[in-house]
Amino acid sequence: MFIISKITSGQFSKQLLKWRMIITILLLCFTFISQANEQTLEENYVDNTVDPNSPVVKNDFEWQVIMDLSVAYEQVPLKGVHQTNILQYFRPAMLIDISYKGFFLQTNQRRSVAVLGGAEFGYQLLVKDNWQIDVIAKGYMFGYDPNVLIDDSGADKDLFSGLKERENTGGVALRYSRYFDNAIFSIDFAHAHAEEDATGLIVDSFYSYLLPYRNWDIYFGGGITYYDQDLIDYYIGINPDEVTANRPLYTADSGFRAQLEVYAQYPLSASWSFNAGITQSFYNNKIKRSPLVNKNKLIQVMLGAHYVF
Amino acid sequence: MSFNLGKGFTILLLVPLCVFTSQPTIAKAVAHQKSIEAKSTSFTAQPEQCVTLRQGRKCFASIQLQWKIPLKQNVCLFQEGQQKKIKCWKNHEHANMVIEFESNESINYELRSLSDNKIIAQTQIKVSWVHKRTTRKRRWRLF
Repeated sequence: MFIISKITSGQFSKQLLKWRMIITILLLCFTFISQANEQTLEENYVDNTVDPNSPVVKNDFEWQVIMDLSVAYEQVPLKGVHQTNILQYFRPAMLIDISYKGFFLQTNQRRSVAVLGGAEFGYQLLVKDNWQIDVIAKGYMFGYDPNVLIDDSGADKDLFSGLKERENTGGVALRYSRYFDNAIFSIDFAHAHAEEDATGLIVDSFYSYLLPYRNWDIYFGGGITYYDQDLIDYYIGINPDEVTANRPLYTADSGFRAQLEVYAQYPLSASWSFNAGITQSFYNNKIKRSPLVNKNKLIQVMLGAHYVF
Repeated sequence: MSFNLGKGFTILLLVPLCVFTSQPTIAKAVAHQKSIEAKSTSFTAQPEQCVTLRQGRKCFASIQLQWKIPLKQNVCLFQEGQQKKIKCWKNHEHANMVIEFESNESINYELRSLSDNKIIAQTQIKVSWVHKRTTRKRRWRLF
C-alpha cells in the first residue's frame, strides 16, 4: 500500500473548497468592516477630514531595540529530543520593533533566534480605536535537521537517521486584532508554506489579558491554533522513501494546538527588566500516532532579562 | 595749623567708618551662618528613583525620606503644589519616615517651617520607565 503525500485530484477539490470558504468568510468580514468603517467615518468625520487613526496617514517613525538575555526550558513533541547541554538553554537575541507609515517589523515573541521565527513583518491595513487588520509575513513552525537532533539533542539514531530535513514554515496572513481594556484578541488566517508539497492553512488565535500589579505586568494568555494536514504531515509524517524497520509509513492528519500562558515583567532599572513565563501547550492526541512523536503536552519555561536601548 | 573739631565731630566721623568697616563682616557672618545651615540641612529620598515598565504607567515604591535641620523647630512635609500636610513634627531637628509612593510622574517633596510656611528643604522622587510610550499596541506572546 502506498500513501503519497502529493495532492491527488480528490484532495485538490477539498483544498479548493476550503480556500473558497476562507475567501468567502474574509470577503464577508471585509464587507462588514468597510460598512462599519464608512458608518464611523460618516458619524465622526462629516466634514470629510481624514480619519487620524488610519495607518495611511500615520507617519510616526517608532523603533525599539531590546537585547534579550534569557534561559529557556523547552519540550518538543519529537521522541527523545531534549536539551542536552547547558548552552541550549541560553537564547540570547535582539528584539527589534520598527514601524513607519503603517509598515511594521516586530519581534514580540521570544523566538527571535530563528530566521523569521519570531519576527513579524506587516502592514496595517485598517487601524481603528478598538480593532485593526494587518497583513503579515512571519514564521509559524520550526523545522528540524534530523542529524542535528541526533548529534546535539539526544534523538534516537535508528529512528531519526535518514529522515529528510524539515524546513521552517513561513506564512502570509491576515490578522484581525481586537483591543479590550487591558486585553488583546488576535486571529491570523495564514497561507503557510514550508516546501513545495507542504503548504496549507494555519488559523492561529490568541487572547492575552494584562493584569498590572504594582510595578509588575502579568499577562495571562490562551490560544488555539489549527494546522492543515499537509503541514502536520510534512513534520511528523513518514514518507515512503523514509520507511525503515523502526519507522513505518505514516501520514498525519490535520492538527490542533491549545495553549495557556502566564508571563510576567518587572522593571529593574530604566534599561533593564526581569521577565519570566510559562507556557503549556496541548496538541491533539492524534499526533502521538506518528513514530516520531511521543508527547502532545509540552511545557516551556522562560526566565531572563531584557536590556532596552 | 591745627583744627579742633570737637567730640561730636569725632563721633560723627567714627560711626559711618564703623558701619562701613563692619558691613562686610556682618555679611560674612550671615553667609557663614547660611552656609552652616545649608550644610547641616539635608533632605533625602531613598531610593530617589521609581522605575515603571511603560511611560505613563503608575509607579509604586516604598520610599524612605530622611531630613535634618540645624535647629529644632516645628516642620511639616508637603508634596509640592499641595497644601495637604503629609506629616508634621514638633520641635524636631531630624526624622525619617517611609512613604508609599504612587505616581506616574516625578514628585517634589518639601519640608516647610510650620511658623511661616517657608520651604526649608526639598527632595525629588523621579519616575522613569523602561519602555517609552508608543502609539502601537503591543501583542505579547511567549512561545
